[in-house]
Amino acid sequence: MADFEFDQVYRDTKELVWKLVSRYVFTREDREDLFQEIFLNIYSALPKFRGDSRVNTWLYRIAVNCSINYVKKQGRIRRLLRILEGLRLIEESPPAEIDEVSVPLAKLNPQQRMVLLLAEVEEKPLEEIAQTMGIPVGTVKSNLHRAKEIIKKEVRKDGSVFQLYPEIETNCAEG
Amino acid sequence: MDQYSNYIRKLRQTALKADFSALYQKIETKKSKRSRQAFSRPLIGLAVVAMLFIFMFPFLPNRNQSIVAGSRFSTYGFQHERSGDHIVAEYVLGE
Repeated sequence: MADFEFDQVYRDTKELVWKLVSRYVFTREDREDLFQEIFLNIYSALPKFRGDSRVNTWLYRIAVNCSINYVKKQGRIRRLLRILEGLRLIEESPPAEIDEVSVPLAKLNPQQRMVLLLAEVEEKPLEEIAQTMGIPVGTVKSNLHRAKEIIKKEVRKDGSVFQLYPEIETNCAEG
Repeated sequence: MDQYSNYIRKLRQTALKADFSALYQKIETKKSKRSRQAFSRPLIGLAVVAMLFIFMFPFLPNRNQSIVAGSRFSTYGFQHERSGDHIVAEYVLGE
């Protein structure tokens, strides 16, 4: 594959991918790692792209699958580290600091989080989300419903989110 | 507007900045590393050598030959003499 093709794809889609990544994972290191991972996968898959679908649809599919796999992998690593810390084989590391806006999202599992971001933030139709994620539309709907319930509960809980976002409280008072 | 809608609106407005040129450089570096031959990676190389070493054993002509200790018969030669025609293990077991 000629590098100029990859350069072109990178130039055209970097902001789209960054938007998804920056909401999906919560620390700068994770965002940068995942961003690089996605583009490395795109680089590997680009010679196989036949042009049957739009570039953005194809790219979304790679980005979404890569993101879900990344979060699952990170989860496994964290669980292993917790076990090793419990056995005092390694020193306890300080908990990762995450952006305030991401706190409620962190309560969702990888699939629910992706469905919520695609449906509510990116405003994609459910059929397209199902196609991108390779799951039935019914699963998308149930994941979205569950994700909404969790987020609603989180933003209500002890008014903690209002402490994080005073402007939201102001808006609510006006509403 | 309810709290949930406010939260989603806030999420939509959140735009984090990125240094795309620095990220591109990192991707370029990883691209070149990823395209290297698998055998050039030290751990894979070591694993392959270890596997060859293990699978080589059934094909050795003299299985009493130890790479580390040399021939077992020469090492325990005195026991072999005392036990007549018996091999060392049989002599130890008293057979």
